[in-house]
Amino acid sequence: MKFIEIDVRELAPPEPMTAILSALSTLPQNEGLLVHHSRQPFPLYDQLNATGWVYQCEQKAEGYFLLSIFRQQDQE
Amino acid sequence: MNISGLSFNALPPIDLPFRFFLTAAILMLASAGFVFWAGEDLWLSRWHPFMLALTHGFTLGFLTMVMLGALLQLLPVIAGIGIPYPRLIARLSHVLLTLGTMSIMLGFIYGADWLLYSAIIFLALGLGSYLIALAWVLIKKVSQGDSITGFRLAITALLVVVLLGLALLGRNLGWDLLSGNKQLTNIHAIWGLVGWAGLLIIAVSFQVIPMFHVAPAFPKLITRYLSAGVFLLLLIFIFFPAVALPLLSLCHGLFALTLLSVIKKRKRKVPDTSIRYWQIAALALLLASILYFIPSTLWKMHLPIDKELLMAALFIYFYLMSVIQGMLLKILPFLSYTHLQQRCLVDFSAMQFIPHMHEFLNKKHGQWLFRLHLLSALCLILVLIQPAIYFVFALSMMLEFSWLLFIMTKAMRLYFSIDRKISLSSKNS
Repeated sequence: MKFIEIDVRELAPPEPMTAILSALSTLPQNEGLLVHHSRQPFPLYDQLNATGWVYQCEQKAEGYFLLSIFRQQDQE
Repeated sequence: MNISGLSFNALPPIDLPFRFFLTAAILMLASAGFVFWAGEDLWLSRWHPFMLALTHGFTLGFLTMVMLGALLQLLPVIAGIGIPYPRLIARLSHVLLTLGTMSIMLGFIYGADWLLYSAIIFLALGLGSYLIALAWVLIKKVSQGDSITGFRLAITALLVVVLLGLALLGRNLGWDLLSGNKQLTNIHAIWGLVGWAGLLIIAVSFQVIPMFHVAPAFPKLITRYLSAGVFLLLLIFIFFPAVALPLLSLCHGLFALTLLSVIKKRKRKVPDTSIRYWQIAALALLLASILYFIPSTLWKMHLPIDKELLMAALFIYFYLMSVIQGMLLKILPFLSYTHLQQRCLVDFSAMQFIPHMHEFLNKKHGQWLFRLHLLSALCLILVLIQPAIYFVFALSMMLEFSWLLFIMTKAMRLYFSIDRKISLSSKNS
């Protein structure tokens, strides 16, 4: 799967969420979003679950998380 | 990866923290009215029943009220956890804490037994239900380790404060639970201010300053050991207060300096009233830590102000209250915006309705709140020196908290109007 990347590590809340939402709203079918984040965006997770997105979060270093988001149907 | 099943990650409905915040401002207006009514007598000593009523108005009515409301939202945001049955617990504890604060204040003012009994029942049930719900999630293993340790210690301190406070109230009613000495009241006060409020603010600062202000993380030595160190000193305070107090002062001086240094290193150096609140809080904490070391005999000879009352004023009004107000300025627009944004995942077109975050809280309105807070804080110091000007302090408090109430109501009204627009748009589409 092809991923579009955004880096929100130097943004203050709620700008990271705005950037993620904007990117998801224009995300082409069969593509995923890769987010470089400074923390885990916990409040986003339940909403992603509820709205048909799948995510995976991996801690790369102290204060550095890599979050990938894609559509449920693209995974199947 | 996603985990299905029950989850308490989700933000609880926004009206839950809002009701705590509004009530806090209203109870401060009531406290201002009380200062006006009580007159000069209130300022005679920290042991005067009127002073006890006022300090409980500040600590239960404002600090604890806002902190309980904010925790409902902050825990899911920074740690990915929230309390179970948030609606039930929040509504119940909010009503009982409000009634409990009013009862304890009136109980100290009028000394009526039925008011003290009411305070015991309301506060025990209100704070007890919240504590149990919070303990239920905080005993689990969750992420953001150092801050969660701080939360756990702060909650433990609150438990001690509540139990001791209830026993002390019982003593006023003639129950023979505790032998009568002032050290128990001192333990209750220090555990409340430094343990519950202080440890919570330390834990929250580790998360929110780097997060909201894109500042570097606090030094590892501080995040790992400060909260535990303060908690240990609070335990030592119970048995050896003369040993613990100077060390507690040093710890807070160190925290204040670290806070100022982390804030200075922030990447986003945009003018921000929240930052000014944190800075004034840190400077006040530093000053209190230094003043503590002036010997009482020297103090009495040269300074026209009671040392204990000044330390309490600096810690409660300049430090704790400044941080809480600075946080309110940050989290009110942030929560409003985040809650609305979450709805956009269902319908991206709803993003068009969400205004800029600053529209929830005008920057100039925040700056005015800061000025009014500084004014009333300075009036508090003046009234400690010259109690005859109590009405000036009462007036400055009324101005400050009416303004806070106004800007909070404005933000909440905007939130609910946008929320309705999004609902209408989703219905029509």
